[in-house]
Amino acid sequence: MASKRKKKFDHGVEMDMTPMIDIVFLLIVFFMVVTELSVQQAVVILPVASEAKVEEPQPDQIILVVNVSFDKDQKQIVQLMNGSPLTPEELVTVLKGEAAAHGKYEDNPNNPKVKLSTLHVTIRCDQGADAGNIHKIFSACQKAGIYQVSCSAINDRLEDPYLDQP
Amino acid sequence: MARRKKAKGDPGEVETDMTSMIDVVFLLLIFFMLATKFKMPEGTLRSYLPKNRGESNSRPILSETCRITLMSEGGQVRAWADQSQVPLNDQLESDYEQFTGIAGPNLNFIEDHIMAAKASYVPLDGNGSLPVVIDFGKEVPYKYVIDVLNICARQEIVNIAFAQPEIPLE
Repeated sequence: MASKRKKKFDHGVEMDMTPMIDIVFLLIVFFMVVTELSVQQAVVILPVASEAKVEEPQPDQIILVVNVSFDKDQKQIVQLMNGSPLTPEELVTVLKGEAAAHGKYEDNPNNPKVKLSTLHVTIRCDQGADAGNIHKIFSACQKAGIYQVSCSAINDRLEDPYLDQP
Repeated sequence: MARRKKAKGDPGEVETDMTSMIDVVFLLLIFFMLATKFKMPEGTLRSYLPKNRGESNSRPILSETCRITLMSEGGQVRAWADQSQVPLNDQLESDYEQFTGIAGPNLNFIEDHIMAAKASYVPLDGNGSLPVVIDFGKEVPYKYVIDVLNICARQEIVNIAFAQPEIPLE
């Protein structure tokens, strides 16, 4: 883009800015891709568990995320992704609806009457939230025929999670 | 930086003025650099709920189980490993304990207990691992439940049951 010209009596120095612009664009694209601008999930401070495994999702695997977090009034709320807060009864209804919408079931050798959904549920629960929520979510999953449930945790904490908390 | 020159008889090379573009590009770069917050990779502790539901599914709880009980009394979490009470930490261990200022039960004690129980466990049918029952009050912070689950995972215990606080009637 830039052209180098030499003229008599013209001592203006021109910089070739092409490589710089290349690199700057590269950086911009990198940061744009990496940035999470909108928070897709509720803000949850996960507990630390050294045995927690980061799993690559399988191609046909559908994971529902149930978040347990604190709202502005420090009240504990249970929500699917970042939807509206759910009561335990609503959670059962929502999970049943999701399992029906997913529509894939596997055989249940023990009890053919109960259909088992192939959905996965991941519980992201704040480390300070009441563990009683887990009972409710487990029982809701079981009522909806979902048996593959995992609890989220992070492997290692690098920073104080309460630093930027209100 | 760019200069426009018109020479007579010279139709001229066309130069683009890139100053403003570079201004904007730097602005964007700085914005994205400041706005970026790298996401921590989240792991999971896998569990499978019993495939049947209702009372009929529940296997009889063997007498030879290891039972970890967690109770919360006014914010203070106390734990029992079978019959023995778990001592509290001498100092605040995790970021959560530092945040609340309340020391929790000593996890090493629980781990030692589970290890000892696992070592002395004789399965009835020859293969099968030590059943661990985790019984927690509903006001216990979730962190401690995950801590106990984590210990079980580290000790390769796969037979874990959560004690049900009450059996819901349908």
